[in-house]
Amino acid sequence: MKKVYCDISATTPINIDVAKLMLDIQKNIFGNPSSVHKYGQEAHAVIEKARIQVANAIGCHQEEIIFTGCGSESNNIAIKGIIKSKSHIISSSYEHPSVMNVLKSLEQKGSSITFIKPDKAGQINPDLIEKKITKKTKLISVMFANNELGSINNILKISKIAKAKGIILHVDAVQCVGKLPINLNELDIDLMSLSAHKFYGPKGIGALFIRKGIDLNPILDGGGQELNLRPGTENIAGIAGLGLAIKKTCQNIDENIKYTKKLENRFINKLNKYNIDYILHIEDRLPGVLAIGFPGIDGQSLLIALDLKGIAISFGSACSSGTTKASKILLDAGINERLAKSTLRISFGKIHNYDDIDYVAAELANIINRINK
Amino acid sequence: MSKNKKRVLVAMSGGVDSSVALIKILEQGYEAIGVTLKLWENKDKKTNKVIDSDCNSVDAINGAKLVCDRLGVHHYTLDFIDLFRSQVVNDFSNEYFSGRTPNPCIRCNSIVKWDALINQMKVFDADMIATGHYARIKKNKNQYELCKGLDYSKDQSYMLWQIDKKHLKKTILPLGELTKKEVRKIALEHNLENADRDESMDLCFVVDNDYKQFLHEFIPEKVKNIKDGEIINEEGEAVGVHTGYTNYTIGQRRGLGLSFPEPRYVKKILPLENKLIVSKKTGLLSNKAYVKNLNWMKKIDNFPFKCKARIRYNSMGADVTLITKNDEIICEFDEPQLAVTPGQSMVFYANDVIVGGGIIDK
Repeated sequence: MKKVYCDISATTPINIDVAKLMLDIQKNIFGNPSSVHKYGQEAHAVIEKARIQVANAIGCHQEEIIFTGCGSESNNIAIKGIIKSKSHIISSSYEHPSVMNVLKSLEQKGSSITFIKPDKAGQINPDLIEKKITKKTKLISVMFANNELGSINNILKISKIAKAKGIILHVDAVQCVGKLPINLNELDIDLMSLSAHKFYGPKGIGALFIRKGIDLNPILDGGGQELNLRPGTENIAGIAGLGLAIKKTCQNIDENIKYTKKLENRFINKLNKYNIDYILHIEDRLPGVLAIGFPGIDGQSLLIALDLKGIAISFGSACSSGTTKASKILLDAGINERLAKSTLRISFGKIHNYDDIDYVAAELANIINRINK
Repeated sequence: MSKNKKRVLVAMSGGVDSSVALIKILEQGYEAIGVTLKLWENKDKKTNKVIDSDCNSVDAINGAKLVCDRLGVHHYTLDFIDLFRSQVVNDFSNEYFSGRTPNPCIRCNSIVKWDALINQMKVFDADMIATGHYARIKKNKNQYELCKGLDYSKDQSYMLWQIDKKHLKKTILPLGELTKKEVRKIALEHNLENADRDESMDLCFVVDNDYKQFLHEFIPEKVKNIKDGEIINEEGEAVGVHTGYTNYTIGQRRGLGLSFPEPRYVKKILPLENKLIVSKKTGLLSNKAYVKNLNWMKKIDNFPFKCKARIRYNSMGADVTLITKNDEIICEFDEPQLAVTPGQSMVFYANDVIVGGGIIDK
């Protein structure tokens, strides 16, 4: 049976060159990067090479990058590290749990948090952020693009507001890196999280951009690795994998976007051809990420039926799966409960071809006809 | 998945029985999909975090997933929490509130495990469902009959009387011909980690099987209004005080706080008067019972009808004569029966075959 993995927002398959590089490193480079001898030097060089690759890919200096265990860890290190006393923080209502739950725990410890809901376009309105700024506002934390909706925030405008008011801006860009070009030379972002497995790299490795001059308190104590912020002997192979993956993804990013848009259009055309009733929630979205509602069809059922045809998609984000409750994120974006329960996330990317797209659309049509019978 | 074989949805609890049911389904040449029904979540009162209960513990779901993975079978968890709450748990608490003793597992089998699962078949493009119950379905002249499992000591047919008979032809019960011992052996042969993990007999949504505490949390306002009341004897004389009638079931002896030379048992619960009637053991005997909410698996042409009736899960079956009256059945016992309990199920058998069943009304 044909298999089509259309859940690249949950995670991506690892790029084969990345996997080969990692295997090679696992086999051949085992030194502790902190060791003075040649073994250590080799391992250290692997890390610094990857750091340069990341810096080049997102337009920053290599000293501004630390490697972490994952995107969630990056978010924790950034937010907990910057909030050193009770403060006011502005964020959105649809952040990833690794931001949301950090903020809630800070709230319990006395900070006050303003959560801004997305508008109908799935975006956090920068003007609303500006209005909510007080003298006590220390941090703005808004995700670059939303993981369930695929909507993209106007980070440029938000960063200008933050800079003008002297407020630190953290951006969770986990969903975005590799899907949209990001140039930190042109964006006044202070802290930015990313994760390798979202751009065809390995799992278990992430990075955090920390703009020069931003001082974070460490949340883990240990040796002095990664600017004292992420102690522990480094995951050399993972770091190398992240470096190569981000390099590969970002060097062809414009072509990838064009290609992905073509896939999207073909998919939509096919749905129209099959006369499938659907609602595409977000107009201005990440390339290839579709939050798409099929009125009258239970999303969880559709997920299962597609899976049995070898097609992987998701109902809500992978982080909140296993439930048939309507996604709070969709509800916050003004989608009614019935439609939210009928909404799937289908994410396409460079791994797909027209055959894949045609197969997914045809099976969707078959299944919807069967369930509607 | 290609679909040249018939596809069967196997309800998996993570225990040994349903795991072996899956193995048997595969051996019989079907294509199988494992499903675990998520029915309830208990939350820790202090932390508000979900804690394990027997029915849907993380252990159970992971156990089912592991078995399915080992056998190369897809597995899904289906969230039926809303249905279970509205159809099973609400009824459970209402029944206690009405002074009756419900059997929620039977209701769950018919409404959730069968109606809802059969309804899911089109989603899975499935042809049949299967469970690990110890009961058999036999075809007799184009009619499907629900029968006792061959291992009488494990027979669970009593728990299945309420399922819609039209579901029988879409159901496979692969353990019906097996003994528990054989099932364990199969599990061991397949190196199932859960070979010694028994299916739970406790109510899955009630922590520590403490239904009183459960009612307290589920319907606190209602329970709050249930006050202490009188315990009276059969003559109507007060002999003691009870702590709220929902705390008692028919036939209960312990916890009454009475001191008689001969023990006293709860004979009747009077919710409207907030009283319990107690009697000696002989007072619990009944010659007949009224049964409602009937479900017939076989058509009965002539009443009165003689058959065997089980008045509780572990009863052996008593000889009875059934008489119809409007929408209820009057069931006359050949021998008086002890503690016939309103709310419990009475299931009618002709030999091994279930004829029908109903809920004991009084």
